[in-house]
Order: sequence, then structure tokens, then C-alpha cells
Amino acid sequence: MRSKLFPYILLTPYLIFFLLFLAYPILRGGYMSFFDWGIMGPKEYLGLGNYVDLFTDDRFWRVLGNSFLFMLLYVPPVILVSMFLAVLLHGFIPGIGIFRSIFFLPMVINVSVSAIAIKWLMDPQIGLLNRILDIFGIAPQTWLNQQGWAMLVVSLVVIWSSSGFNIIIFLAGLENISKEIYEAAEVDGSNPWTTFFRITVPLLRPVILLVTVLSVIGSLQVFGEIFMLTGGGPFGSTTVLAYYLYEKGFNNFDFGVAAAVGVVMTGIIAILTLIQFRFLGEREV
Amino acid sequence: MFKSKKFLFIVLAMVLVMPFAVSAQDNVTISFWSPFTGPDGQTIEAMVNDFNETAGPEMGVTVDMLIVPWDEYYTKLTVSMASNQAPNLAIAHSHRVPAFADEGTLIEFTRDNLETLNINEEDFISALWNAGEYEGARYAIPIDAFPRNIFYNKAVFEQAGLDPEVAPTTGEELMVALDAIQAIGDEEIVPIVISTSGSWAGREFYSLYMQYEPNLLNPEMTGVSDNFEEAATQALEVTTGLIDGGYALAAPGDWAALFAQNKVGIVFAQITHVLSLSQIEGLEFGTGVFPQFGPEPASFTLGHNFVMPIGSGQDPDHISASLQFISWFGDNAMAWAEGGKVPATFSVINDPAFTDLTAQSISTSQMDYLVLPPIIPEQSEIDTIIQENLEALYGGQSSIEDTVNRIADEINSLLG
Repeated sequence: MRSKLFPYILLTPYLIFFLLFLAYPILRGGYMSFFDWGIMGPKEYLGLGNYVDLFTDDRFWRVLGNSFLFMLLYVPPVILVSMFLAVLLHGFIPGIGIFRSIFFLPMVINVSVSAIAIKWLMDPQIGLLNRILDIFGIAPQTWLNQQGWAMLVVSLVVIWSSSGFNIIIFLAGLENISKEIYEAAEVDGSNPWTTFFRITVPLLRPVILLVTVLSVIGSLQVFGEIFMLTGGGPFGSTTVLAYYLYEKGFNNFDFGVAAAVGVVMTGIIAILTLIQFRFLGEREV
Repeated sequence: MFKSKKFLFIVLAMVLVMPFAVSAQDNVTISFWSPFTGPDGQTIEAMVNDFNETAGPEMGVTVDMLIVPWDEYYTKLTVSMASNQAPNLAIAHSHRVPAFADEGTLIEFTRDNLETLNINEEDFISALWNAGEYEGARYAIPIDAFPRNIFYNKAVFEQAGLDPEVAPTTGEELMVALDAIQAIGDEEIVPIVISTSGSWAGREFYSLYMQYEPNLLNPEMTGVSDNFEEAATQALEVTTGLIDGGYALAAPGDWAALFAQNKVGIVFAQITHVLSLSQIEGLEFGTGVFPQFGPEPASFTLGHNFVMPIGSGQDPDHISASLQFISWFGDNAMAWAEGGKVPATFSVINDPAFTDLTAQSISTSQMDYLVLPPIIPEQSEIDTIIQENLEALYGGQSSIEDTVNRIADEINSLLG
């Protein structure tokens, strides 16, 4: 009897936190989405009214498009860059610990602090980036105020700040690949590229899946960088789902609609995660 | 003997503890959330400290101020209201008051409250006073305004052969000044900075628009005013004309840094910047009213207000303590005006010492034609519509006609 209960006793602290801070908020959000919900609580039961409002709002579809655009601009590059850097950092070169720390550093810098620095860097008049372009005779660009540039810049900033975390995951995956396999490949005359594509990538497949899933989830939840760098502009071109949720809730006090946006976000993330597990996770290597 | 000693000990202990008990009972501590940082933050902190050291002990009131920076202020205030943990006293922008009042989150300032505090409508700039009222009830007491105005760089004016002591006040005078600055021939000098993104772009649009048409919305508040398209077009022709004429940049970036380096002639800004500009060593600048382009003078302004959020910490004692602090603040508002604000009350405006605050006095001279946003809960959404469409216009992705039509359609759809 004691042995059967023991695992559950060990799980209890996690379960308490899970129920309090994850399960309850999700259920509560779902419940709120069926009401006209203001700051002080529910005003009126609307059924699916908030969802109807949402799906008939042109702005919501633009925002959804922006979210997917951000995902496209962020997920593939962050996986490739992180994997590439992880492979470089996996070797035994002098000062490797310093390099690892440098790449992880952006992860621990507060979003507000890095956003201020990036805003200065990209300022159209006094920013360093435009000064460098000026040397080559290129006219200054309004990186954060131009519809074409703003989303790209935000995605680059998020790639910079989040790749450190992915590098750590890839490094852990690389540690698990037996050195004997690499030695065998070397004996067989495999060059570095063949080794990378034929051995490293296939054996990293579960890690790539994990990083992909986490990156997709992260891309749909991006908020801080957009809040600080562009405020959703210009012309709403960087307003993504999480920022739209914030606007609906904290600017317009439509917490019912904001909750509906949250439910839709959760649904999209769940569907995309299932798809990724289905197509990336099923093949054995 | 033992009993009498014990009795004596108890009496002595009570005598010793009594003053503290009375003090604890009489003294009320109110929580006050302030979003001001930088020079504003230093000013309000000094005022609160002054209150806590001088008038506060006499009134039995202590103000416990928490500074929550602007970026997250309204988010935290809203969450505190939702969780019934709101502070006793808070600051709110005039255009935010209707939405908070509509949500039932604010305590009304009753007629009795105002009489107790000796607060009279006649003592306030009327536009600011009116903005604190929603559906017949008063939810906010104004403390200041920060209208649009211009700052001009005296070094650049001198270089352009302009009188550095005279600011342009009309559209024609502004253009003369801009032509003179452009004629300097220095490509690094920007004749004028106007805001082309963010909330400031909207505020400049409102200032110009309201010179052609005083009302943004129709009297029923169900859509834009009848004259919206014409007035908005005229306002946007002014700003785009400045960009197309090479006087202004479509994306100005950090104007304050350029202004400090004597690389900007004139800037459309607001009086809140006067203190930070004054602190830049070697910068000589002047202040002017927002120039009149249209047939009527108008300068768009927002203002800060005291509000009392509903929350578990509110009871008659705390409300009374908040009211006493508000009253003290009004009596000592000169210090607040010194921080770069147009004071809300005539008692400060008419004080001879106020005329020494040159920039504030010039900005205050616009008080007869200050225009605030419409008093409706949806104003934040209207601001977003206008801001986003202006960004599209200045970003070259939309014509004036399309911008105006889209703003009108989106506002009509929101309110209709």
C-alpha cells in the first residue's frame, strides 16, 4: 500500500502547482470566454458571442497572419542557428566555456533592457547600424517604423535572445551521441559535412523535435519584445496574438474577448504540436 | 503587596503603550500609486516626502507611494482592481477615466467630498475639470495638463538669422522659420521634427484636426463628426506637406538627442519635456504655443488626475485621508508645475511666482483653447485606430484620402 502511494506523494507538490497555476487558469480562461467580462467580473453570459465577434473581426485575421509570419521568420532560423552554434561549441577548443556563456548571456538579459539597447542601435538618426550603412553609402533605414522591416527586426531580436536556451538543449543532445559512431565514420572516410548530415542530424532528431515544438509555442506567445520595440506597429504590422490579447484585455477591458483569444491560441498551439509530433516524431532512426 | 505591585506594573505598562495605541488609531496610511519616473518622479517623491514630514502628521495621514512605471502602470492598476487590491489613491490620464468609471472601478467624488475639500469647479481650467466627469458623476480631480507646444533650438535659430527670442505662432510664421533653417544648407540640420508613429503622432493629428473642426465625434457619439473627412484631410495635408517639402523626417527617431546636438530647429512636443531639456548642458531652447494652421486655435492636451479606485483597502477613514492629501496637493501644486506641467488650478496659474516659469506660462497661455479627447470609454480604441492609420500614411503605405476614409469607417464601425 505504502509503495503504491509513494509516487503520488512525490508528485503532490508538482500537482498542486500544476492545478493552481496551469489547470485552473486554463479552465478559468475558457469559462471567461463565454461572458462579457469586465475588470470587476462577468457582466453577461454571451455563449459563443465572443468567438463570433473574434472570427468576424478583420483585425483578428490580420493579427493571426502576423503571428504566422513571425513564426516563419523565427522558427526555422532559430533552429538552424542554434544547432550550428551548438555543433561549434561541442568541440574541445580553448575557452569553450567563455563562448558558451557569451551565447547564453542574451537569455538572462531582461527584455526591457535589451529592447532599449536595440532601439538605440536601430535609431534612424543616431543608431550605430545606420551609421555603418552610411559608410557604404546606404540611406538610413527606419527599422522599427517600416512595415517591411519591423517584423523582421523583432524576429532577429527574439532569435538572438532565445538561441542560448536552444543551444543548451542541442549541446545536451550532442553529448548523448556516442563518440564511437563518429570514430567509425572517420575510419570510413566520412567528411565533416557527411558526418553532420548522416550522423549528427538523424541522431539529434528527438532534440530537433523538442526544440521545434518549444520554438513554435514560443513564437505564438511572443509579447515582451513587441511590447517594448514596436508596440504592435507600424500600422499593426507587428500585432501578434499575445499582443492582441493584451490590447483587448488591458486597453479595452474586454476580458471575455481576451480570454477567447487565449483559448484560440491554445487550440492553435495544440494542433501545431500534434502535427509536429505526427510528422517529425514518428520515424525511428 | 504583591497584588498592588502587579496592579502598578499594569497601569504603568498601559500608560507607556497608550500614546502609541492612540497614534496608531489616529494615523491613517494611504497607498498611492504613481506612474511618474524621471524628473516627474523626483518631483512627486519630493512632494510626498514633504507632505509626510509637514502636513501629514498634523492631519494624521501618511502617504505610502509606490512608483509603477508608465509601461506597466495601467496593466498593474487594472489587475489590482480586478483582484480587489487596488491602492487607495492613484493617478489616471483624463482619457482613461471614462473607461475605468464605466467598468465601475472608481469611487465617486461626491458633492460633500468636494465641499469638504473646498474644491470648486470655478477654480479649475474648465476643459480639464469636465474631463473628470462621466455620466453625471465625478470620478477624477485634475492635477495638470500637458498640451502640445513647440520647442525651438536657439542656436539653430541664430544660425538661420531668426530672432531666438521669438517663437512662430502661426502656420505662416512657422513656414518662414523652416525656410530660413533650410536655407542654412546644412544637411544634418532637420528644420522640424513631427511625430510619425506612436501616440504622439495621434496627439499632433488631434491638435491640427481640432483647428479645423472642434469635434472628433458626432453629438450622439455614434461615429465621426459630419465634418471629419474635410478637417482630417486638411490636418494631414499640413503634416505630410512638412515631410514632402523636406522640412521634416518621415521617421525622426530620437529627436531629443538631435535637438541637444543643435541638429533640430523646431520640434512639436509637449511641456512635460521642459525639465529634461533644461538639464542638458549647453542647450539653449525656447518654448512656443502650438502654431495655428486652421481657422480656430486649438492645442490637444491630456491631463493627469487623482482617482480613488474601489478596493478592499477603502473605508471612510482612508477615503477621507486621500481627500486630505488631494487638497494639500492642490494647495502646493506650484511644485508640481515646476516639474513641467500646466497646472489645473487658477490659484497656481494666477500666482505671481508662476510667471517665472516661462515655458509653463507659455504653454498655459493655450488654456482657453485646450482640447481633450471625447469622454467615452472607447477612446483608447479610437486612439489605436488613428495611430495605426497615421503610421500607414507616414510609412508611405496609404494616401491621405484612404487614411481618412479608413479612420472614419473604423471609428463608425466601433461606435455604431
